Amino acid sequence: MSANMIFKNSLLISAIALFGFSSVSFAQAKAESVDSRLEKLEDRLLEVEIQKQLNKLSFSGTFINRFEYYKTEYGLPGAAKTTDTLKLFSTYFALNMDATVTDKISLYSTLAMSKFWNNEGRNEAPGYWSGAEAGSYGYKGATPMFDRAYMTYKFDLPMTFSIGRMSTNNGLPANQIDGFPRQGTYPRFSFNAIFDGLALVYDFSGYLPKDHNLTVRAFYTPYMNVSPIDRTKQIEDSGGKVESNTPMYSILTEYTLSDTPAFGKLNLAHMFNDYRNFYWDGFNNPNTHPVTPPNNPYYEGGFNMLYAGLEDIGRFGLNVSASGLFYWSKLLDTPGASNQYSTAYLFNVNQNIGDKLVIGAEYIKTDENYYIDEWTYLNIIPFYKMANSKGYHGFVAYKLAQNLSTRVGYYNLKLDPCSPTSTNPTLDKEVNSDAYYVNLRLDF
Amino acid sequence: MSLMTRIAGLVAFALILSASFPAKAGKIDEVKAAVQAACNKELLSGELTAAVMGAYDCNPGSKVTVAGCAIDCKKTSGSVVGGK
Repeated sequence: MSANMIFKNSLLISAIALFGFSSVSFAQAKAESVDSRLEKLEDRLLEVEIQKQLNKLSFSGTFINRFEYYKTEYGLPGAAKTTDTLKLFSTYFALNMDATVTDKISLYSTLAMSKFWNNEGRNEAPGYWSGAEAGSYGYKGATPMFDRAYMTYKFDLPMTFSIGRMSTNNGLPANQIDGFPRQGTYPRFSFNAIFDGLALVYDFSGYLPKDHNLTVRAFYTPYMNVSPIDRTKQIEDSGGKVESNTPMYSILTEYTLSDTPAFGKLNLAHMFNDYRNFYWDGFNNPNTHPVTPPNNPYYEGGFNMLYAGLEDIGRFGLNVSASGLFYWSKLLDTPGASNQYSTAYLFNVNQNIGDKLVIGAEYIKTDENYYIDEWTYLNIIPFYKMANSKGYHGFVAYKLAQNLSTRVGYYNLKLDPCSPTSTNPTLDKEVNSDAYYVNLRLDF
Repeated sequence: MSLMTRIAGLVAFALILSASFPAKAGKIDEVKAAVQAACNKELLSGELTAAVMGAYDCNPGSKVTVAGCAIDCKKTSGSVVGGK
């Protein structure tokens, strides 16, 4: 072998050795890089898992700004009428704080306020019970109230138990006006108020064919009557001491059929309600009754309420619903008082155009003994609340962007005077009211 | 520590975590299953983040379209006592 050959071979071997060492170094460097990245990944994964375990609360909410022009003319039949005209801006803010405590236990809460712009400290709820039912919706000011604070326990059966301050307001079909999914438990024309209590809900859907759902919800929501200035004392009325508990229960049975060629959903609901010894705190003398025993009425009563709704009729986004409220009550502290009966209806039709636009109308008809716990509403006009009334409501809602929507609408409400035997003796006037409104709603 | 040891450690870590906490499908699994059930579609890895964010950033009770498939909004709110 020549020296030249030896030199060439040495060069080749050196090159191979150098390449080999470089490859080894490169592989080592790469492995270290992967090790380092895996280490960082471990840390980040651990961080995420720890955060997940520590942060049980999830936040969401609703923010509504609203303007309403309201004009009402009222007076005795045949007499000159008095006019009130209001042009009011308002803000409503609700913060939901929900927690999935375990797989079986969830906690839901809502802290909210509503206020007229630059106006504070109103209180139009006449009694303690109605203040509780109204929650934050009374335009009382910027101080928030808990409108919802309840926990739910899921059994292994398709059954849940709930206790606390529950989301019993803003039920069907109120959500359809904005094109939203269902927002509350009780149908809107049974109660629109917040109730504390407990509930047992059984979902029978698992025993039914696909797309059929049957749910029975039972509620026990007693009122507590206790002295507003001394928790150890009963309330005193001129009729004597007031029972501390007003037993009240409701049973809501709901059936739905979904996804048929003819419609998106059929929704049928029946709600039964019964209450005893209801003391209408604040009815007569809300300001002085802690000192001077008032003479507030004692009631018993209840109702049957039916709701029938078809959604997405013809699969073209048309929704139609009818609600009927059949109410009865009796004054317990008036000798010889008989049962008073009431029948009232609410109709709603709305058309969804695409996924952004909703156009619709409502019609309400109530009789002179009509009564509904209507406390959680932001409109100025008491459209759903009045006895012996006829009214209609036209509205257009438009989704401006994701989670941001607006609605404009017009209400007209006419009231006839009630007869002297009516359970609503305060309604002795003819009333004609109009309201125009626009609101902007952000859900987050 | 070798690469294999690291990977084994990571797997063991994941196993310990899954054993430590109640077995529960994660958000990714839930959205994957919902899309599969509604549209018979397998979500691609590149679609996952947007799909999961979309499925949880919505009005509870509404339908939401993720990766071209309409599924139920996964966010819950407790609006209806007892659910639905």
